[in-house]
Amino acid sequence: MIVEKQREVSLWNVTPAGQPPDKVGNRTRPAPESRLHGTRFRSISDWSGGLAHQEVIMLTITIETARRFILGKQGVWPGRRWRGIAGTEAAMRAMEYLQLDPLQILARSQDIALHSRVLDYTPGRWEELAYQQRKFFDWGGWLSVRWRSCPTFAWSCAASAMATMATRAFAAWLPSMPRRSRKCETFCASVAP
Amino acid sequence: MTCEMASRKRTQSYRGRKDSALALYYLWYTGEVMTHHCENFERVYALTETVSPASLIRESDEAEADRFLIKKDVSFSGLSRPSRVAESFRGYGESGRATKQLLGAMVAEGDLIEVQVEGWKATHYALGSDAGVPRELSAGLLPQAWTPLETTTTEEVVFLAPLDHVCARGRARALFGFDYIWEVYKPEEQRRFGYYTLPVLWGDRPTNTFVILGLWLEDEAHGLDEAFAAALARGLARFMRFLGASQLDATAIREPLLRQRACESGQSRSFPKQSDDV
Repeated sequence: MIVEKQREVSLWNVTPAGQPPDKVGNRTRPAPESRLHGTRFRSISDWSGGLAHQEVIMLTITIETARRFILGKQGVWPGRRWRGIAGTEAAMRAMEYLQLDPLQILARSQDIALHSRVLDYTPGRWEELAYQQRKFFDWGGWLSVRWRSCPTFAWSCAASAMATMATRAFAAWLPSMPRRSRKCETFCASVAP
Repeated sequence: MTCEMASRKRTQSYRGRKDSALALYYLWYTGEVMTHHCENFERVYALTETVSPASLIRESDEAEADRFLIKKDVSFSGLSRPSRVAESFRGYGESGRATKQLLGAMVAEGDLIEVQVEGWKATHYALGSDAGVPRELSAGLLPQAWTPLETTTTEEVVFLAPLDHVCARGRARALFGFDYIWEVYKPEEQRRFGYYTLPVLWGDRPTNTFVILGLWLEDEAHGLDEAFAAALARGLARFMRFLGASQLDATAIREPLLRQRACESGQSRSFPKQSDDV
C-alpha cells in the first residue's frame, strides 16, 4: 500500500460579520499562526443568510494519488467492482458519460469500456439500460450516454467547445434560437433514488 | 422517426447526408426529440415526451444548468482543468470572467475543491463530495466501495477501451507519461503502433500497448516478469471470453515468457461464447 506525504492547506472566505462576500470566489488565506498541520480548517462565517460553515479546501496530492483517484473514480482500478445488469448500471453512473462509437473491430469501444469495469459484461448490455429501461439516454455532439443529464439541453451548452464541431452545420441557426434550458433530473431517480 | 421521413436535399455534413437528417439531428440536440432506439447504430427518434418520463422533464434556469453541467463534468474527469470545466459552461457570448466567477462561487460553497497535483501546472477541480477520497488514497487506504469483487488489476490486466476517458485524447500522457493515440483514423504511414491498439492497465499503470497482432512493452523488464505474464494471461483470457473468441494467436508476442503464458491461458480454457456462459 502506498504511504505518501500529503500537504493540505485549507482556505476559506473571511468576511466581516453580517456581510456577504464582497466578491464571488474571493478567498483569503488564513494567517500563518492559524494553520494546523494535517487537519482541516473550518471557519464559521456568520453573515446573515450566508452559509454557517464556509470552507474552501486546497488539496495537494502526488501524481500517484491523482492517478489512482481518477482511475478509481472511473471504476477501472483496483479491479472490477461490479457485476450483472445492476452492476453495469452502477458502472455507467460512476463513469458519468459513456462515449459511443460505431466502429467495431474487436468490439465497440463502449463495450470494451464496460468490460473493463463489469465482471460478466456482455456486448450491448448498455443498450438495454438506455433504450429499454430508459435509465440513460444518449446526448451530445459527441455521442455519449449520460445519466443525470438533460434530455433537452441548454442552448448555451449546445455551444460548448466539445459540441461546436458537431453543430457547425447549425451555427447559422443558433443565434435565432430561443435561449432556453430544460432539464430532467435523472432517469435513475425515478427508480432508484 | 428517421431521416427517411422527409428526404430532400443532399448535404455534405458529417452529421447527415440529407437536410432532413440534419434537422432531426438538431431537434435531437436541442431535446425536442430523443433516441428511441438504434438500428445498426442508426438512431430512431421519437418525441421527447414519448421517451422520457413526464415527471423528469422540466425547465431549468441557466445558472442551475451551468452548475449541474460543471459538477457532472468534474465528476467525469475526477480532476478537471479549469479550461475544461469552462467548456462545460461557456456558451456563445459568455465571458471567461463569468466562468471564473461561477467556479469561484462553487469552490466557496464547497461544491468543488481545488487540487494541486505535484508536477502539474494548473490547479484542478474535484467534487467537494470527493474530498475524502484523495486523502484516503494518500494515506494508503482504499475506499470500501472500490473493493474488487475478484482479481485486482495487479493480478489481471485490464484492456482499456480506445475511447476510455482515462487514456483517450492525451490523458494517458498526463496521467501515465505514456502516449496513446487511437490510430484507427490516422493515415497508415503516420501510425506508430497500428490500426487498432488498446492500452493495457496493470496495477494502476498502463504498461504497454496491445495490438491484436503485436505487443509493445513500455518497460522491457516486464517481458521477463512472471507476475506480469500471469496477469496478462488472465486478462487475455477474460477478454477472449468477452469477445467470444475461441483461439489465441500470440505469435506476434516477441517475449517468450509472455507468449508462453498467453498461449497456456488460451489452451487451458474452452473460451465459450458469451451466450453460452451460465
